[in-house]
Amino acid sequence: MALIQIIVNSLIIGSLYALVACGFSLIYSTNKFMHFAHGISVVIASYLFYLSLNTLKINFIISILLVLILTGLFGIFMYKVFYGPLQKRKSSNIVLLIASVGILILFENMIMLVFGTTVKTINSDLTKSIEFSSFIITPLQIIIIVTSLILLLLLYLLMKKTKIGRNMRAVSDNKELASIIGIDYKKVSYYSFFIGSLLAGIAGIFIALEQTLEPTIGTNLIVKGFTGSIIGGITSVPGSILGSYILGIAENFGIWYLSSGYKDAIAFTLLFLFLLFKPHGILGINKGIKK
Amino acid sequence: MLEIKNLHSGYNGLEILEGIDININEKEIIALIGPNGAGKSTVIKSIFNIANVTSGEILFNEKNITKLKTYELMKLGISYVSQGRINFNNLSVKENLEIGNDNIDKATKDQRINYVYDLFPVLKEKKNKLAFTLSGGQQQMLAIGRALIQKPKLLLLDEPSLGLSPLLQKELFKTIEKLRDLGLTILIVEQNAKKAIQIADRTYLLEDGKIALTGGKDILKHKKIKNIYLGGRY
Ligand SMILES: Nc1ncnc2c1ncn2[C@@H]1O[C@H](COP(=O)(O)OP(=O)(O)OP(=O)(O)O)[C@@H](O)[C@H]1O
Ligand SMILES: [Mg+2]
Repeated sequence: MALIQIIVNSLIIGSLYALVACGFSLIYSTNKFMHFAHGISVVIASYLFYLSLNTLKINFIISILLVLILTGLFGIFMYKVFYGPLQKRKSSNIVLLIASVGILILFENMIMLVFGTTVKTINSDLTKSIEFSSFIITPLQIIIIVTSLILLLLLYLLMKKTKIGRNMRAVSDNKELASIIGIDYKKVSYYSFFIGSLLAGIAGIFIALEQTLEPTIGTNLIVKGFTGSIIGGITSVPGSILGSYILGIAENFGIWYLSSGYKDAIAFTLLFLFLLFKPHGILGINKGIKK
Repeated sequence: MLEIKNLHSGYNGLEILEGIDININEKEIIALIGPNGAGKSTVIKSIFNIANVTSGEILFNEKNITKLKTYELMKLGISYVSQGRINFNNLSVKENLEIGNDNIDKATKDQRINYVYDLFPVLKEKKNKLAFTLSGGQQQMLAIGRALIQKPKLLLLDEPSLGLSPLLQKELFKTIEKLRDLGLTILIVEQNAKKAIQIADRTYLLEDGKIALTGGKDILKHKKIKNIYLGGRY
């Protein structure tokens, strides 16, 4: 396999990780707790997509839009039903983290119950590979890379140029001050859960088309998304995106030089090393916060 | 303008203020001084409905505002600059001025931001810099600037001189007097009792959640205040 193929593969997987990681980090920075149940948004989206497209035979584009909106709303639902009441009772962030793992397992099992454990696939013309001289790629994979980059750019613009983005950055920066000056941080939480879950939903749709559907992909992806966030800096959305691509590259070089069995080992080694030596990540330096 | 009547207030069940009366007239600077933990910040937080008021009432222009929400208070013309981390460190100076104050239309807001830039030219110079790169004094100007965007009638300042050099403190107090001359009413909490008494029309000394002393500039001569000076700042 040529170097260029490794890079292409890294970009594909890195894009999927980045879609998961940026939402995770967005939710973390505005809410200050780790939403590990974020992984289930990916799974919900892929199963809803299967349901809409294969079972209900709804048009492809409409299915996508429908699934994304529902997944975003599912994010708000998780916040309202699980985290909101806990926060109201002033539960610590550790409690919220444990709850998030519980939510992940709960919904994973519910999906198994509803859809069964048999592997499901969605057939698509988009997965017929195109051969270039030095690498192979499918149209879907091109779409994955390009749309992810566009979406991540849009997210960046949303954060930098819009009022809601500015309010999200403000709440993430100084929640107490934000509420003193009249920013509704509940609303900011809803927005971050909606946007974050929607982006995870996009990853879910891509995965449904690219691979087979399994309830457990959520756990795998949130672990990778989390690793990407830690590498790049969990408090920084651009950082978590960068970290995700770095993780993608590291994994694919690992697969090439070692074997595919080492993929997860590489991810966990990186996670461990960063937690140990650079817990703020590459970009999450927490500028200006002197603790 | 502001009347605080027999205020009891604190934090979830813990009573800090045990019956406080404060009266503020229009275009006055009122200073609130006292030792650490006396409850000075709690007075301001009670006005802004962040602390938990258990009894008593707060009137603003004869209207009871004790239970009003933050944005309602801001709309009425009360702005608050808190103690501690007073700006959004990772937002630019300009963004720090723009944020909040959502009831104001963009044109008016831009106009008022320019007014703040006129008042504190250094903020204009640094408008695209992130707030954490500002010096302590500039940070205070930024926070006060943001409070002014609302065009408040009453400005609540919690220890604005904290961490400033004596020179910057002097400048800050001049600014506060200037704001008063421009028509603002100001309640200022200060550790620097002497300076505060000097610029204030009246001063309240708070000790253990009660008003221990009140008076004009002449209270500088009071035994209690003099004792404080033996220990320098509170
Ligand atoms: N959010 C809070 N929850 C519980 N207790 C609080 C809270 N904020 C302050 N207190 C307590 O209330 C008391 C008065 O605090 P306050 O901040 O009003 O004092 P202060 O006079 O402003 O002091 P300083 O000069 O140090 O700012 C203190 O004993 C403090 O521990
Ligand atoms: Mg205080």
